[in-house]
Amino acid sequence: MNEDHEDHEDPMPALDAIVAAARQLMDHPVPQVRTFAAQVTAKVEALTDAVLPHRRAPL
Amino acid sequence: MAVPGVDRLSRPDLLALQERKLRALGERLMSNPFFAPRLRSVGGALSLDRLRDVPVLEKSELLDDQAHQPPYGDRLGVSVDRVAMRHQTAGTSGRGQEIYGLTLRDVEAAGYISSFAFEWAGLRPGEPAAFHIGVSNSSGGNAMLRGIQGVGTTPVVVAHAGFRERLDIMREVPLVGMYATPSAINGLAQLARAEGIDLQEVLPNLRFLLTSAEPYPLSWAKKMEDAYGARLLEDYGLTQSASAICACTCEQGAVLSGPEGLVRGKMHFFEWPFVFEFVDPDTLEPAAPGEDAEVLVTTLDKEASPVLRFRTRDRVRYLGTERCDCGRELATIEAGTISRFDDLMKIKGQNVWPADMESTALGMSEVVELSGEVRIGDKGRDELFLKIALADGADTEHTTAALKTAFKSRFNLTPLVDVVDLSSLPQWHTPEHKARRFTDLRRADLANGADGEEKS
Repeated sequence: MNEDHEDHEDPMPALDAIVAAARQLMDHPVPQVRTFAAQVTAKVEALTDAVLPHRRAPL
Repeated sequence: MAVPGVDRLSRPDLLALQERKLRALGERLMSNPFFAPRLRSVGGALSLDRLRDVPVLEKSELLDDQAHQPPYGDRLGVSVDRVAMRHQTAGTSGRGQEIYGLTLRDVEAAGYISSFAFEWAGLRPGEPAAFHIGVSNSSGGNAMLRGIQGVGTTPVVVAHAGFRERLDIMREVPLVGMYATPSAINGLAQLARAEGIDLQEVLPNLRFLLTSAEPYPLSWAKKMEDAYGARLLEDYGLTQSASAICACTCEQGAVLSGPEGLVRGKMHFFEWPFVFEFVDPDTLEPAAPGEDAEVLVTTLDKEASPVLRFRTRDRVRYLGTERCDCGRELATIEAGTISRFDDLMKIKGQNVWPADMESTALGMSEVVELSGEVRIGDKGRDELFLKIALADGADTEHTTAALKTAFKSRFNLTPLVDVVDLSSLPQWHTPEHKARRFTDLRRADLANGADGEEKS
């Protein structure tokens, strides 16, 4: 893990899509769904910060 | 084109990443009422060069901020309803505990950051590892546990159990690693030896021991590797980093065999979520490779309770940023020798100030003097031994019990107490001698064979 990865394995597009989908649930009437959406968003943002920051934008 | 893992960025790419994050951090903190005034001395966007223009951050300033705006201070940086978890330093109330908020994103990030240590240690998805650290708001347990889970594996949590029960649990699981303090690693080895248990036989899959929090002798490290049949690695964490692990020895481990015998391994700092500076504690000038240095930390991504050039008071031997044999180009320190520039002691995982222990004991009218030693006890792990002298007429049994209760309540430590004659204790009546009532003898004890082997 965390060895070199080929570009076609770039996870950012899929992660961005997950966040976009989660954001649509942020105002859901069921509180647990809202919590889930917040957790998913936080998880992806944290993963991007901590593991994939160099994927987010060119250095 | 191949893209490296973030821990394997070239030095120039890593510095470029830090620059980008620092610039964003500077912009974010300009709306933080605690940090904005500190950034005014910076002539432009925050950068690695300009970071040194920012005043260093002292613990006392954080405590003042909390007192001014409890509980998190003006520095929180997010609305209180976004605080998903609270961490606090394990210091005692006499010196004040720093309180940190964490957003959901901070909590998750701390786990992902910490997972690098377990990955470097060799943990792989699906493999169980024993976790010997208690989880609370005052330690890194949360982040470390998430770190194990971040690798995609199963933590076997054993911190609630005594050593005997831990061994029983561990024998039933095909463990590949365990995370524990040096004292716990030592205590388990000593128990196994006493009971005639061959650790290599009962833990045949064990590959690594990951440890932190206490310095240790090289000879002891090698003995533990031999006893468990596993490689020893070490990590370093900070409450200020959302309690994430901030540095770790790479795959080579904490003990290396050199041409002249055993040498200490190297710990690499996780420099993509943090900026670390290694400075002379008196001048705050950058330390040169090979020098002892204090660690300053700046959090680059943390949303709640960020820190900017926080003085950790942690003493490390800085080794520079030269490319390691593992291929990483991260700032490096010597393994096994992290200590403190102040007199904070870590006993059984609890951060304790000697002055607070003194005031607790001497605050009892029955106790007139004391002397304390932290040693490796009969069970192979750290113990606090207190010798106390009593006032005339004080009841020995009652005072001893009350003192133990007070220490348990305030420090979560139960000392072993001996009542002695006042004349046998050092006297601290003259102003030219600062009272030093507590001594840490653990490292000497480990070096002298208090590691589960018969003492010669």
